[in-house]
Amino acid sequence: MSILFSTILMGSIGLIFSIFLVIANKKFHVEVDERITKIEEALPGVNCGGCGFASCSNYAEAIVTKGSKLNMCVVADSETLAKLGEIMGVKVEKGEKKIAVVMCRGDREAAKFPGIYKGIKDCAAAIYSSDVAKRCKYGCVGLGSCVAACPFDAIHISEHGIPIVSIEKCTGCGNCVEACPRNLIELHPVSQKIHVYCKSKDPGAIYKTVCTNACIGCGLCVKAATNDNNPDAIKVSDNLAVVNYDNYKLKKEYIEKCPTGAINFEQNVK
Amino acid sequence: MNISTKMIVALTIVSIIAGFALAFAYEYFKVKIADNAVKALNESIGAVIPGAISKELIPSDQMTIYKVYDKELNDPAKQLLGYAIVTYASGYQGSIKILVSVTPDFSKIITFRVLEHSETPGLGGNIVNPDFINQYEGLSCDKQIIVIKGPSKKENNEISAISGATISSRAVTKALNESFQKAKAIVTANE
Amino acid sequence: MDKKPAIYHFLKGFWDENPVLVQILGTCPTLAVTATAVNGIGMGLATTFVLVFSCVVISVLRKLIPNEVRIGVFTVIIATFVTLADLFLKAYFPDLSKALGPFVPLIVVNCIILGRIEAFASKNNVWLSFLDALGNGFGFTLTLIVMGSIRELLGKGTWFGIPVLLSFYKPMLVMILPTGAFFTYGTLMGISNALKKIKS
Repeated sequence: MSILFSTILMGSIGLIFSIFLVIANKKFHVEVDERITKIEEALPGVNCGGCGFASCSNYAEAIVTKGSKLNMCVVADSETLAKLGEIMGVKVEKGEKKIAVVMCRGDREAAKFPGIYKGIKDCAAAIYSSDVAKRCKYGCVGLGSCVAACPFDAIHISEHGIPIVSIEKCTGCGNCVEACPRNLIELHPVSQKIHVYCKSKDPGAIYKTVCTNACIGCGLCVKAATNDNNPDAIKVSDNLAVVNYDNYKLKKEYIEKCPTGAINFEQNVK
Repeated sequence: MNISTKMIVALTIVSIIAGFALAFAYEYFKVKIADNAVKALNESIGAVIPGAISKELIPSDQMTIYKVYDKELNDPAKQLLGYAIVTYASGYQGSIKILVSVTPDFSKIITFRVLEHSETPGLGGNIVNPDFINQYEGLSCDKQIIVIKGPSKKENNEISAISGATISSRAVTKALNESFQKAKAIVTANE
Repeated sequence: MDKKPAIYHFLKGFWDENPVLVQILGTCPTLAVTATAVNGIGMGLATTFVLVFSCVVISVLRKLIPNEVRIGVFTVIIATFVTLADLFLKAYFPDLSKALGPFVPLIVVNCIILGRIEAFASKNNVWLSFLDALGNGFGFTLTLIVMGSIRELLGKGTWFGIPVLLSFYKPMLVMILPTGAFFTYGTLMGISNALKKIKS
């Protein structure tokens, strides 16, 4: 009967191939700690690289085999962290959230533009191909390479031409930091709200010719901090004020005397 | 059950069930599928030999030839309506399967039908058009059918190639030309 | 990740995760059988049948199939349903079967099926797997109908065989050839991407 023959034939094929697979499975077996698979499944799976590893699988492997810290995933919420802790048998505390801070206030009103750039919509391309992108050699050209790099839709170019970061959506993964060709974006804890939003090392004369929001290195913020018995909070070098992030102790009063508004409070976020 | 046994059991059982289900389904559907094939063949033969009522396959492993009858006609000499011959042409894009019908004395073409082809639509694909096929109707089987590019004359056994599809037109004609003598020989040998 | 209502898994196959225009799976039958609208709908429904039944069966068995043999087991199950579909078409729709030709057996390797099984049915319960498969299948079918209609109307002047445009329109033969298939596919994808961008 052909039905019987077909059944036996198919069954035999299945049997033979499954035996092949058993042999192959034994021959090519790779010992994998099952905790790695469990952790990988618990992680968000976005592969954003915020933890510093290339992918969620790499991070999972590092946790189990190299003892990496469990709270390095910036996207994980407290529920996920608890799950990770459960798999590894430890308690996990979420580190303080860091967000991206765009260190430039040279928008279309403040900064000078020698011409109109009509080229590839990429900041690196604009900077390396011409000088028309912006007069300031240190500032943000607003073409959105950081926007393109963000996997969380957390950064957008405002109508004034400077990127704005959403505190809620930003996970501090650092992709925009890598994408900016002028290294203008830095990751800082949310609680740190005062920064010097400028990286220009040009002397004070630039105020009129390059950008009216630039830091001219006048040192008035340093004076205010010193008067408050906080001399190391801010330093000026190369015509640029730099905040001491190792020992962050800034108050709102320090920024009041700034002539250009370069050192400022809660800029470029929403 | 260790993993190896689980693997073997899973794949084997699924294969057994699949094999059974498929064999069962095949048995269930095969009657209708065979029916469809018979219907399609009869329909094609009816299309190339008008008035066809019954057919008889001539035993041969070289060609498929059907003797086509209308046994209800009073005059027994007229009951054999003609022969339906399956022939293949090497077309532009692949094989072209043709069913051609000839008169009982193998003297004239009745008509033909393209059963299967993969020619380019709009060009070689036009070999299925009645305008193209009509050219062959009534042509002599004893002389070669000639393909020409301009207007043709039936009395010279000529047909006009489809413009832009000379290869397809030539292929069909060549297949028909070669089939007649071969089929006649097989039929005669069978008598 | 956030929980979605069950109905989302059905609806996503139509637009958000349309297998042809977004996931870009099953492109081979999409290009090959959409020269006419009726072929498009035939292929779409045959694929949907295979997709739904395969996903449901595999979802039911998902905890019993060892990971190491899953590809073999999935393929046997899929191939069985494809053969059933092929037999059914040959018996009850012989003209459609002939028109679709070798593309019906090729449903076995249609990426949509293995794709949905690997991504969803092998990891979710039966009800959600059913909805996911049905949505993807219908989304696929609808897209094929749209593509088939465009190509048939522009390439032959007919729609489902009915001569609609022939009285005043000379058909563009290229639309029913492979070239036309790529044009139509690319244009549809471009339009759907543009619409999605405008929406967001």
